[in-house]
Amino acid sequence: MQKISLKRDYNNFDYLDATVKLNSLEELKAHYAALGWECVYFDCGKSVKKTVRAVFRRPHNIKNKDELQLLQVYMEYAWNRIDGASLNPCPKTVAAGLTFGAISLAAVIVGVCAVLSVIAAIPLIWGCVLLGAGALTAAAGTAICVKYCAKERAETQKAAESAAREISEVYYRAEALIKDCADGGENER
Amino acid sequence: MKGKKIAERRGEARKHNFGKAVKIRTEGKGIGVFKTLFVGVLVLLQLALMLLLFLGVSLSVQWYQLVALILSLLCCVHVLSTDKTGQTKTVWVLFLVVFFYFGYLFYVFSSEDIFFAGAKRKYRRIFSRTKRFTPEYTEVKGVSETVCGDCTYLRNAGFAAYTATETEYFSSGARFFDDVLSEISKAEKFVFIEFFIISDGVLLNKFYEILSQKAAEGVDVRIICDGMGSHGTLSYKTRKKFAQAGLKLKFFNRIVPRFTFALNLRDHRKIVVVDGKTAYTGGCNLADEYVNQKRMHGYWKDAGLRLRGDAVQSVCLTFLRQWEFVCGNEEDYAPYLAAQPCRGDGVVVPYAGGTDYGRGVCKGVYANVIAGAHKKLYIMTPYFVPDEDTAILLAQKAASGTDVRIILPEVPDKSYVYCVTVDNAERLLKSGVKVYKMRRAFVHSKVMLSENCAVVGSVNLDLRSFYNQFENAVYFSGEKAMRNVEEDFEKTFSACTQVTKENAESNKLIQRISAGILRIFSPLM
Repeated sequence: MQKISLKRDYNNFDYLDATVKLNSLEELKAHYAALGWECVYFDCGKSVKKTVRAVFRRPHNIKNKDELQLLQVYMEYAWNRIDGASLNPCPKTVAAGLTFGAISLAAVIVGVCAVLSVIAAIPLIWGCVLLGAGALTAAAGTAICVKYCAKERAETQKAAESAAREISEVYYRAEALIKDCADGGENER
Repeated sequence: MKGKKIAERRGEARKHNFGKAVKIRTEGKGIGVFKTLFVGVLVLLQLALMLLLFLGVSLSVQWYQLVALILSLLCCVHVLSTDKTGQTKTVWVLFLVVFFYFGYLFYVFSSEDIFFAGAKRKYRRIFSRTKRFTPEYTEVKGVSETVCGDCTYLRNAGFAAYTATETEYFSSGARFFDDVLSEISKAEKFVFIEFFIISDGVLLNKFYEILSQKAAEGVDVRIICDGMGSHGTLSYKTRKKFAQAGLKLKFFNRIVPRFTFALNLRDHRKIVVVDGKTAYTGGCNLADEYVNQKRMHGYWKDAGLRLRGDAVQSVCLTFLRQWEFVCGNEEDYAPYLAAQPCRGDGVVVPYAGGTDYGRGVCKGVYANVIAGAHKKLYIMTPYFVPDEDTAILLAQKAASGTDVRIILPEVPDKSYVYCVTVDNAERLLKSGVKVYKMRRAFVHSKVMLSENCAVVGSVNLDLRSFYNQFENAVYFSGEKAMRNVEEDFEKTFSACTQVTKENAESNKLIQRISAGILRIFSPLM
């Protein structure tokens, strides 16, 4: 990822470059602020897929840094899980559907070609068998996908809710750690 | 109050509109990937060409197959008579029988006595010349029988025990490197640095700023990095910058686009020595991911140790010998090895393993620590591919009532090693070993703690660290440092998920099949 040109003082601060979705920028800024990060730059121009590049910074010697760093990873994982859930709520069903679809399509195409005597090597009878198999595969695939799609959606929704709870927990724990920084002297050494 | 907080949290959860979440990416450079692939492809092509030529010639000779079979069987007999581990023997015998056509050639030419013979002679010369610098052994008093026994083992392996050394434990790479940089900024005479990986990035830039300033002040700065670990992570521009600043940088066993068995021998040590007064070691390499400046594999958990006192000369000697090996320059070590005793706490024994100091020391120390533990044994390791002796020892300890706990990463860096790691750890569950995985983290620390002592260093609990690589670590028994190690373990346990028989990965068929196949290659992992 190309670094945004910004004068960075690595002796006194740590920096974090991130790409975030435009509609979640304010929410994320608040969450990163809870972890001690301050947004020092964001660039809405040339946004691809409605994303914005942002730079955060935090004092290098912040107290409870390791704990905050771990919480940050939890938060980012949770955000990405929610994003993944919204983009593709049933990935396994989609994959299964595509697989069944590809197999049945291939069987139907070869079957049709055989029936129309386009492929001389395959007898007519086998062409009919392939057509039938293709149709059966498509029907079976559809039935399986319909049956499991709802179940998978429910599981994904549950995972997303769990991720949202995790984000809230991180937020509260981070607030407590930052408050500890403020009470006990912000920076170590 | 509690109910109100929970309701607030539920409200927060509802506020998060699940359809509008965000993907977060932090920096991640892939420099050197092309370079490594290029070398890898060239080496494989050479190997393929050699095999094709060999097959072409051998197929034309009628009696060759019989001769090859006999030679491979003789090699099998030789393998079985050596003191290699059972797993290694099994892999070799399998290879020799399946690929009898050329297996014996691989076996013969992969022997260290052949492909590393020149290097071994060089190490013997260096050790012979620098024998007089080996510190005097002093009797260790006032310690438990277990610690005394461990010190005796290390003394017999060539490593003295020190009692006038202060130890400080760091529970993260960030804390570790902050201290290292602070110490280097006070350097007056010399700074020695040895890492497996040295990588371009924010951390290296900080090191460069301080080291170049020190070099300008006349401080002798020497840096060793591994040819494979640092292959592709250290750009030509950086190396040129270092050279121009007067920083001496050398690569150990550089990667060349030529097939050689020596590719497998790596310098995995992590050493920093400043003015002969302070030494550092641990699991951290000099790269941004070790301080969580760069995001790789979740949260990066690491550990380090600082020594101040007479034990520093032992670490310094290890570095100087390796420096002489990579440079070929003989020098008087005396100016660098002046002992500077400090108010110590317990016993400190820095040690090293590899072709130079002899194999088996690193495994031996771990085995001793495990055997000596009766109340508790805590282990943090990124890879868990022990030989069968170590695995049996751990199982027996747990079955005998010792609280044996192993912390592994939840996020792997190499999935094929992780598959075997998890499988090996889960096999010990039935003996009572408790296995933990640190959530959303890659645990890179190599730490072992018992009620008697602790070990911190570069030694993974795997066969590569035990038998292939150059490693170093510190055995210590100081109360304060051990307390810090224990606190780190307790804190880490709270961030872990315990693996049980119900949630074990090996319940899945695909995991069992994959682990079964990959186990064949565990001596190489």
